[in-house]
Amino acid sequence: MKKLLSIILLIAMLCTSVLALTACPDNGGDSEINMDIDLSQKIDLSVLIPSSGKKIEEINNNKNALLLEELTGYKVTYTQLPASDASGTLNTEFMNKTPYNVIKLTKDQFSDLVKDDLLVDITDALAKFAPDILANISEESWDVVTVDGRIYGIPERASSDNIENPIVFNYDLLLKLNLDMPETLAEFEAVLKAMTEYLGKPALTFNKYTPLVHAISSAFGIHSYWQEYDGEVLFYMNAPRYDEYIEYMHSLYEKGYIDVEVSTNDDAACVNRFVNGFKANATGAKAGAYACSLWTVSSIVTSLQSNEVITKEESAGELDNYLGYVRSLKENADDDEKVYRSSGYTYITAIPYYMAENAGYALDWMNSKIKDTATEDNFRQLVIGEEGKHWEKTSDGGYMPINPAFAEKDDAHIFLNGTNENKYTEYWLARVRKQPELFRAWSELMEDADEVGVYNIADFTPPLADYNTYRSSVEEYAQTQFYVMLKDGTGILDNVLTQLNGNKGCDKATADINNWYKNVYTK
Amino acid sequence: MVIMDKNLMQNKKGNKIRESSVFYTINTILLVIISAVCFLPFMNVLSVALSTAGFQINFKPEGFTLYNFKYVFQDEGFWRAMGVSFLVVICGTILSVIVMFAAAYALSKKDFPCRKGLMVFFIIVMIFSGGMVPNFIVVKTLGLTQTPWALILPSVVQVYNLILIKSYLEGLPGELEESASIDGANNLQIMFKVLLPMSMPCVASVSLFTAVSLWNNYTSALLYLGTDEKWYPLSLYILNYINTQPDILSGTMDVIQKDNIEAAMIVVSIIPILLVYPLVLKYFTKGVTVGAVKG
Amino acid sequence: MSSQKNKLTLGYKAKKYKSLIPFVIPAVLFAVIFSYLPMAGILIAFKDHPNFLRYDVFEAFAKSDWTLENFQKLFSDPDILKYIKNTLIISVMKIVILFPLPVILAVMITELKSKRFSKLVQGIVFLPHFFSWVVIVGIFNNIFGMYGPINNIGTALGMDPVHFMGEPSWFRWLVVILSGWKEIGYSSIAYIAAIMSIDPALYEAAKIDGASKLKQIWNITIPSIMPTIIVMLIIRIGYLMDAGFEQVYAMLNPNTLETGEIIGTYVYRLGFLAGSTDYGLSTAVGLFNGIISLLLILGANYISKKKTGNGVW
Repeated sequence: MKKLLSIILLIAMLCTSVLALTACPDNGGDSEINMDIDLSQKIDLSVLIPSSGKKIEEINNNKNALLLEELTGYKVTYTQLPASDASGTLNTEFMNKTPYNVIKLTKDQFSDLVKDDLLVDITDALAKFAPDILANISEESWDVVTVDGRIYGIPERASSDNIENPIVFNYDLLLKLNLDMPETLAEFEAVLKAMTEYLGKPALTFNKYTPLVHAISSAFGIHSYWQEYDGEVLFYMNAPRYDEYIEYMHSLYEKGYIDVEVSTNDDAACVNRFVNGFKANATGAKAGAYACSLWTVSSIVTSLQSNEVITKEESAGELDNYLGYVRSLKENADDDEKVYRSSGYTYITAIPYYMAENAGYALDWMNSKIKDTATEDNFRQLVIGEEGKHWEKTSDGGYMPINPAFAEKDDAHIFLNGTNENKYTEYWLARVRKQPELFRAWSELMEDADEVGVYNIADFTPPLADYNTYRSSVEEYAQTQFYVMLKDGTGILDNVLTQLNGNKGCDKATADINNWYKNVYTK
Repeated sequence: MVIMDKNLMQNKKGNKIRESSVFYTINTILLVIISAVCFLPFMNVLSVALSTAGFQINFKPEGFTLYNFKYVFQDEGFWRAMGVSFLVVICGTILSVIVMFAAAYALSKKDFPCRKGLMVFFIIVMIFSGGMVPNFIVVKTLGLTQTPWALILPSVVQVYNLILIKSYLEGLPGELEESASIDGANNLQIMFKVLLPMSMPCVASVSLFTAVSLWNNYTSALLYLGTDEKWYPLSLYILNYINTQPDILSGTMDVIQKDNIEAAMIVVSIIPILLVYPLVLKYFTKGVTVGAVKG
Repeated sequence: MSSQKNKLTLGYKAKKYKSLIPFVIPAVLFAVIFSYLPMAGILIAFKDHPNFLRYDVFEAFAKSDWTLENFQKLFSDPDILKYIKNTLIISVMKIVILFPLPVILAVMITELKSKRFSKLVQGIVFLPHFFSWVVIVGIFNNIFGMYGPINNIGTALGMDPVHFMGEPSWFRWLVVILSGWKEIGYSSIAYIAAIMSIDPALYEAAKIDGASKLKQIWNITIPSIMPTIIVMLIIRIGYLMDAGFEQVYAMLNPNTLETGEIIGTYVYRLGFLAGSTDYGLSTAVGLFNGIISLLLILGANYISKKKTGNGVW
């Protein structure tokens, strides 16, 4: 009897709860873009941005936000995604149908949302409301947000196409050992040998996310992640000379020139080793060469100063006596130089499907932000501010920041939705100039960048179904297997490639990319 | 004879003292070692928190600085998040422990109707989850998203604690409860006036488990709070800080010191628990409860 | 005891339990609303990408097809058996090696004479629980690194330095050691609480009988907390399929995948495939693990009841 009672009670509760669920009203729904809006009657906009690293009140009261309100006439409220699990929160915001007029997305988030039919097709509205956006963003960039000929977002190209994966050398040690900066693989090996002997520890280090040491793989014709080889786009592991690259790396490892702990190193550990190499009395791990990202130079400089290798004054200037950069090695001294050049799209701005009606205002707002002409320089105002107040022209035509006023422009990038591609890189460089050694490294690596740079073809793809599905598993697998082969040699390479092109899906991703690539580049 | 006997007795006693003092010495030494090993992570994080950026830190600070703690103490968001965490932990623990204790009380009776079925019912709660979307939809339908209730109500049922309390209650002598009920106390009175005081070691430990899990829980916050920063608890606040990509080009002090500030946040976030812990330990006193029953 | 008296007590009890029913209702209610209702969502495991972001739940469900794709995806990797094996080995090692330790620690702590020292020890051993796995693994990387203290001792004794974290043969042992380091103190709390409820009169009696400390522990302490130990063991066995995802994920590196990849980390890698809006795969894994857990708990409880008379219910 009591059993029956409690069961009945349970069922009753279940039913009421289910009813409560079904009764939930459907707020919002599909809508069309209203093309006949009165742009002089501006509306307030709500904008969702990625995590900014600042509190949202700070963003909403930021000088740049206030400046934009003044320049565009739109009052905007910003909301940000959390730094942790941003995509998960983005999904729940869609389930909530939170009324954001505009959402700033990463390329992956954009692909996911387009696939699920959650973004507004803005092709026609762009032509009507946003002529300046259309004019100042390149054809190449529009391809990234175009699916079946329709545009679903506004691409924001990375600040600069940098060559940014050098090997940093302890130049001080090189001088001590009477060695030059290496240019060929043989010279490189000789440098590692001498350094290893001097330090008593393996000389070359890198972190656990470096399956392709670009400076070295370049000698084997492998510059980028996805690159064209004889008309065919291939993932780097499928490149014709990948086995030679592994063979070479493995031989360095076998000879004891590569840090044994590369598969567990994070950047902090690598920087520590590298800086220890400067200190004669340091115990523990040391390294003389570090295959890193250009941006690690800041941490290296900080650490050199903390460890009193350099003085505070020195750290504020160029460090050409301490650090040397090699962006690529060659097999033979007279080979042509080619090296990986990064690119891609940091963000894509889109409009959620349930907010289509007022898309016109949102586009008008973004259009106004991107204008940069002699009469209307909103974009410049936003990114670097006013001449004489925030910056001045340098002798080489660059923009030199004036401190401390320029500091308020540190946050400007948060407020971008698409960039004026013709102007952004030179503006952005003003920020790099603030750190002299970083700027020196950047300038050195970027020499003749247009001639030597090789792009990652996958950076320019629109959302491609198979490529997007398999990309991560392919990259992850390639990364882990590199560290295995670094230790064990090429013995398992055939097996690895079978796996890669089989159940990891590299074959499908490759076919997908080639399909797109041949369509675009035969046009 | 008498002297010999006395000697013998002393010897016997001496043996015993020696034996037990050997036991205590070994025990103490082992515990000192264990404690030292367990203290290492704290030492490391504390050292990082007291250091300047750019050093490899093991178990002592390098380039001693208080900058990181100053940063944390001046960070309003951090303290607001700590306030939220306090609110959630206090309300959540009281609610959860009372609900679990009540259920355990009923289920500790061997002949309680559907006892077996109910236990399986709760075990299933422990093992199966509908996943993120269904959980989110239920909480949203109840109108709890973006409120601190979303951090409290879904974690009221702690099956592990239920089982612990239940098995504890089953082990208690039943006399006092029976005599109370003969004296005319109702079940509610029995629970609060008899069983709860008798179960203090268990309730203290279960409350501690609940409080700690609520204090550390960030997944509910991530799922249910969305973009509403004002209710982010401390765990999520710190996690977000850790996951934030520092803007290297700004080159400001707090960007350079980011890893050290993280460590300072972790240290400060542990302090409240360390302060509460002795209160919990107060109830871990041998024999008090049972003695009270017998008395 | 006469049968009449027995009957009387039974009748008395039944009456009392009727009034106890309201005591379970809040817990049942919370469980139904926040656990059982969402459990309907387990069906997602059998659905082909329901689009929850665009449609409301029921519409999204109706619009998507039934499929077994998620399970196929899960089991399509030829190495899946290896991952299951790794999971089970690590889990069993953790249970066999680590399960008794909190009990021993609890006994040791409660045998301390000085209250202050006892409290201090309790406070300290419980500390590591509060550090995330990332922090713990970071510290451990240094301690067990090529140039860390362990290898320094090793080289001083004439051994070659070992990259412990990168050695497949060491990996599982390190998982066990770290897990113990982090959780033994915290796990001992439940046992300490149980020991606190033992009647001191039992020890007094034993002392008079001249039983040694170890004998007292063996004959009084352990049997008294046996029900707690058994309950904990049964619950622990239920989590056999969970070898500690966060920990293993933080520790794993390419060189140790062979012995260290467990179902949790494998699925996490697979999840990369799926994109952030695909919830099917993780639900399928949850269901798979849940069923195994349920069977294990039911089995363990049954055996325990048979053998010892104690169980979770």
